[in-house]
Amino acid sequence: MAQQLINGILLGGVYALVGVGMTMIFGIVQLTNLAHGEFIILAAYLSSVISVGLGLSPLLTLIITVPLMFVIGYILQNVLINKLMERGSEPALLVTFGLSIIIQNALLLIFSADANRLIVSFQALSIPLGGMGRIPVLNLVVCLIGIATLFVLNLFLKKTYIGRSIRATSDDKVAAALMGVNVKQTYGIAMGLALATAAIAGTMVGMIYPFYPSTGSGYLIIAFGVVVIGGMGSITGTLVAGFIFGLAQVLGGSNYGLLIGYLVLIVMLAVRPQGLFAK
Amino acid sequence: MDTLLSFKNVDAGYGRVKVLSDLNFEVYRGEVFGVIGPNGCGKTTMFNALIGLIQPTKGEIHFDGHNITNMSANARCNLGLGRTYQVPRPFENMSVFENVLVAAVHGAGLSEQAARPECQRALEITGLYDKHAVRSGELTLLDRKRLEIARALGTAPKMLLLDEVAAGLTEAEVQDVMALVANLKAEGFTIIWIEHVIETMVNSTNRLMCMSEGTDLLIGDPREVMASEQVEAVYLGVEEDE
Repeated sequence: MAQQLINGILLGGVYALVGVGMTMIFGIVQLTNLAHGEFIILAAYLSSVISVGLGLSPLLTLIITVPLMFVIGYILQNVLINKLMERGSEPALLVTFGLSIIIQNALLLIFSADANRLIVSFQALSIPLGGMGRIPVLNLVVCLIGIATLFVLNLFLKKTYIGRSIRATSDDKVAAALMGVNVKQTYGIAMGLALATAAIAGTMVGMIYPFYPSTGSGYLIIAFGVVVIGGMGSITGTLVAGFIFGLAQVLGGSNYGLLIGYLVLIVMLAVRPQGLFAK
Repeated sequence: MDTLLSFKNVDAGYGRVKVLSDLNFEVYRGEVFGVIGPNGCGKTTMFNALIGLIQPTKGEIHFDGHNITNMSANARCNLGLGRTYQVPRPFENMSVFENVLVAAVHGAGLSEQAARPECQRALEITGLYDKHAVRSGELTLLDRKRLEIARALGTAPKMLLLDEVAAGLTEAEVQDVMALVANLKAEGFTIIWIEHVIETMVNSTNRLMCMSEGTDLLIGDPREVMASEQVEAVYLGVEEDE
């Protein structure tokens, strides 16, 4: 039991990281990015290729994948999604669905359907806790990176002028434009940031779980769960929701994990549909 | 006279509904230009066309030497157009100071460092400085209207657009707003002011335009405009049929 609690808490940091990019795009661009799970897996493959190619630890590949995914997000939003959103939200939603299929199949073509995994040197290490179980070092590192990412992102949104323009746009995009904020560019930056968090999430989940080209949809569903429990657009909510979801899943064991996770989700939708920390 | 803004034969509307029809007027640098007219005559639509929320289907709008007819809203803001809303729309999850800061950084193109004293000044002019740390969603209506003006000031405007700032306020609050506008005029801002409260228009503007059915019916001295039979007919239009 103690061991499961530990595992659940550690998993929470990763789930929050998986959900935060989704919640940002929901809250700021008002778009449901159905390709978010695939972007996470794309980042995991990028990390794998760079790690093997350059002989780097997967953790160090973040130096390359995070800026790369930011640029991909920024360009994607500016070249494609911004133009589609002028015609309403449905075309953009469908295009993110299309992107998820394209990314999944491209990964399948390039990497085949075999399982892949990011290997780190401290893979099997753990810290014993007397009779209370053990803390796996890898999961601890991954969880701390997840929390740190959300913390930095929150600080960025609160304290920088780009962060303020993102929050202003999220509150009222028309008023923001009248204050001189370039709304489309702000959307681009928000999507860039969301994919940068997906890059970190990809490396993290790739280190703790095996991944295939088709694993993305599983993470999309987790991201949805985290967004609904935490409340759209709230980073604090995302963090708390990540832990709730992680714990619920681990306590359900390997047979009922997802089931319990979704029971929590259903209860949440019934009791507080706007989420724990909605704006 | 030094013309800051001109509308030339402007048609504009929403989708197929044409609201503005052959609208012509000029605003001179440093004046308070009042706009009146019955509900639905196109006053707010004129602001929307001026600020870039809708594109004219005909005609041209020139501001400070630039043809702004097809410019984006944020580009117009950067040229010096600052607008307030009839129903205030602050960024409710941000503090009063942050609201003005966004305007100063993006609208006036300042660094945050340089923007801070400007924000303080905008809040002082509008009498909001005491509340700079309050979350703007918690402000009263009068303070929200002040914040609208403070944000517009933050963008370092050459021209301020005031859309019914007195609407919904008590008699005493209207006096506060009139004093504030007089203050802004003294600071040298050019102002276009839409208002239904006729008294404020007669006493606080240099020139007055009465709009009717999307076009400029009469432009001139506020008292003369108010006294004209044409304007009376527009406001009391019902009686013409009898």
